[in-house]
Amino acid sequence: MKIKSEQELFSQSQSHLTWPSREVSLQKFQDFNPSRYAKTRNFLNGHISQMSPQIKHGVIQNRELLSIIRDKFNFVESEKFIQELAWRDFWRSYAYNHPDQLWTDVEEYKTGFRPSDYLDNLPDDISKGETPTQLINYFIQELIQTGYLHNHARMYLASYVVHFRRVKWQEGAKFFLTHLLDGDIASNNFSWQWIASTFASKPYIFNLENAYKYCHQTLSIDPQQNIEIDGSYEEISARLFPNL
Amino acid sequence: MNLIYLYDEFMRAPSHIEGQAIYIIDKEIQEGYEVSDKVQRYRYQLAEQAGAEIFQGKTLDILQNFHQQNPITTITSKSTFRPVYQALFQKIRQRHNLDLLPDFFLSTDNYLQPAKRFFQYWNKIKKNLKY
Repeated sequence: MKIKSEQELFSQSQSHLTWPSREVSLQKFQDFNPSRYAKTRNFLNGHISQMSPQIKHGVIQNRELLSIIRDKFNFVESEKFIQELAWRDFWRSYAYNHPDQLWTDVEEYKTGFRPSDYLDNLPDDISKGETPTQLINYFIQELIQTGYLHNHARMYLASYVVHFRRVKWQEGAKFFLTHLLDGDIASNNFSWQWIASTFASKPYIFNLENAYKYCHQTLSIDPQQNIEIDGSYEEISARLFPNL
Repeated sequence: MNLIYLYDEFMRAPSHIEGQAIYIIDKEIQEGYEVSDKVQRYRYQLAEQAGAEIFQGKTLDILQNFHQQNPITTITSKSTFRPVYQALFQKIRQRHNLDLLPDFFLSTDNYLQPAKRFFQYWNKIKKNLKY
């Protein structure tokens, strides 16, 4: 069946949704500064390119961005940004060599738990953004409403799902792929495995202090509503991984 | 006619490729998860920007119908690691002349070298990227 208009497929309720074209995005990228990116990228309000939806869909290629950067900045200034572009290539390269591992554990969990100790389904409070943790709810709502999430927020949210709530990484990976405009199955799933420790030497965890440092500039964070993630790394590690 | 088969990794054909772009929303191409309306709408808009004819249904049937109306000489698309699309491309190839462009990587050399950790990979490609 040939589709003649967007309205044939989608509800009117989201008819206002439009995204920048390739030309607009490339124009905006002219103002991108890789040195600022290297210094601030981990902060939620940091200087980031936000080109990932276009890269994922092949509308803009990594190499085009590299070419723009190369004309304006030296390699040392640009290296961190180029490295981040290369992460995406790394995951895809690994997927070419191991397509069977996109949905299966690359290695064992290094958490003291077996795969069967993890929940098979994403709990409703996570999928709805109604968890006991305010910060996590912000991230989930943003993901659902905008289709985008800052990379650091993705890491916090993935860590929360797998380690604080002990849900199989595959369920979190599907949740991201459902909602992310830039959801690339290789980058997404292997990053989830990296967080989970099935593609890394140890699990990635975080605490309120770390999240506050990188998020408080844009989010109002009430410690009383984030008790679940409060504590030193040693305390949280002992709580989350008692078998280690 | 030359047909450019768009899919979610290839929503814009490089400028040197000529042909009619086509985008098919095929719910039978499944990788184990659903995508939100927002993601589908984004892809729809990218397909429109690419000047694609947009269809909904089974990919092979739609290509066949298209072929009956406008004989297809070549279908151009892009390579991918994704098993579901590799299987689809195999089926398309049984019926049509399929030309797959190389996947988009930063480095044209060593990009598929096996590496288990990122910095092993980075050290292999960095020399090609340094300027």
